[in-house]
Amino acid sequence: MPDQNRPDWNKIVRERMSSPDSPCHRNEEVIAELAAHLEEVCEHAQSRGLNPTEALELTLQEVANCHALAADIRRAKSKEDTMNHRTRSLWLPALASLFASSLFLLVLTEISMRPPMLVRLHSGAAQQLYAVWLIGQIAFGALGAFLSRRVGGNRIARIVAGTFPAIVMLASCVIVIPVSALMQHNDFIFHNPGRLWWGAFLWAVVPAVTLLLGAAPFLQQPAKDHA
Amino acid sequence: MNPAPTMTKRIRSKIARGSAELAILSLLAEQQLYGFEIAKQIGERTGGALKFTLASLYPLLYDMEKHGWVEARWQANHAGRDRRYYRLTPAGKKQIAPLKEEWRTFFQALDALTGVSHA
Repeated sequence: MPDQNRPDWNKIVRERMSSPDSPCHRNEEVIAELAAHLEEVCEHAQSRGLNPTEALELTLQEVANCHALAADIRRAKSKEDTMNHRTRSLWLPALASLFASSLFLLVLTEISMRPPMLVRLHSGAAQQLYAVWLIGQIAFGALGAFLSRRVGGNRIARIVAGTFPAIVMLASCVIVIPVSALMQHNDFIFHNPGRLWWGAFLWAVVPAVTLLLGAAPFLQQPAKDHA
Repeated sequence: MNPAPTMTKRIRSKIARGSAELAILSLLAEQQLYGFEIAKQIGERTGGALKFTLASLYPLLYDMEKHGWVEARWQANHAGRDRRYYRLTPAGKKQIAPLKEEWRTFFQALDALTGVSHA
């Protein structure tokens, strides 16, 4: 059961480390790590017999001089954050998931173009390949969410990283295909919008569900205020 | 203005930093740990002689991470909470022996000068 009186350590660290000349409050990963530390210090103090108020006071002493701490951390982290937390927790996992999913689609397309497969395409092989591709999305959803969680991505980052292949597909269906049809004066999809929506459903919505299925085990950890 | 107190403070700070680096590297050579555990284990194993606060520990850890001596990644601890675990890199492992040697030399020199280890 969540404890209503439990301090919001993330908020405490963020407030204490914020100052006009300190960019440290923007580093969500640092805030989450320091908050986790304070949480443990407080719990440890209580396990040694201190009451909650005493434990809280003792813990807050650790962040008594936060401006100096922020400056020290800023100095220690300078030159380091060329790749910021969002890049590591969101964009890289998302691109890894997209790359793996695209590669898998490429391989399946290559297989479907082989002569023995071509003659079977109208006898259900296309649906089988689609089903195989869909099942494969479970692994790619898991990959994106796992990589994001590994570097401390919050739940939203993990979901986006896991479902990124479907997001790209949806963007292709909703933006790229209509725009490219417009530029090429191709009226087909404008006269048959149902085909476009059906395509978006098959190639973006359904895969999004399977990607999420794969990502699900990696969404269980308590989310941190990252990204 | 007398520069001596500043100088003493600077020397003391360098000694503290050097000993802290060696303590952390030695501990991480045994196992990967997250910040609170590092502070707790160092405190326990030195009988409280070496104490780390949040303010002294994390700038040092981030600095060591920047130098590539340690690397960190988030994973769940035994209680199922996400914690940022630090582990030694090969570059960090290489730092331990020279640091130990440096400290040995330092204490021998201090011993020869003041007999402090026999006190």
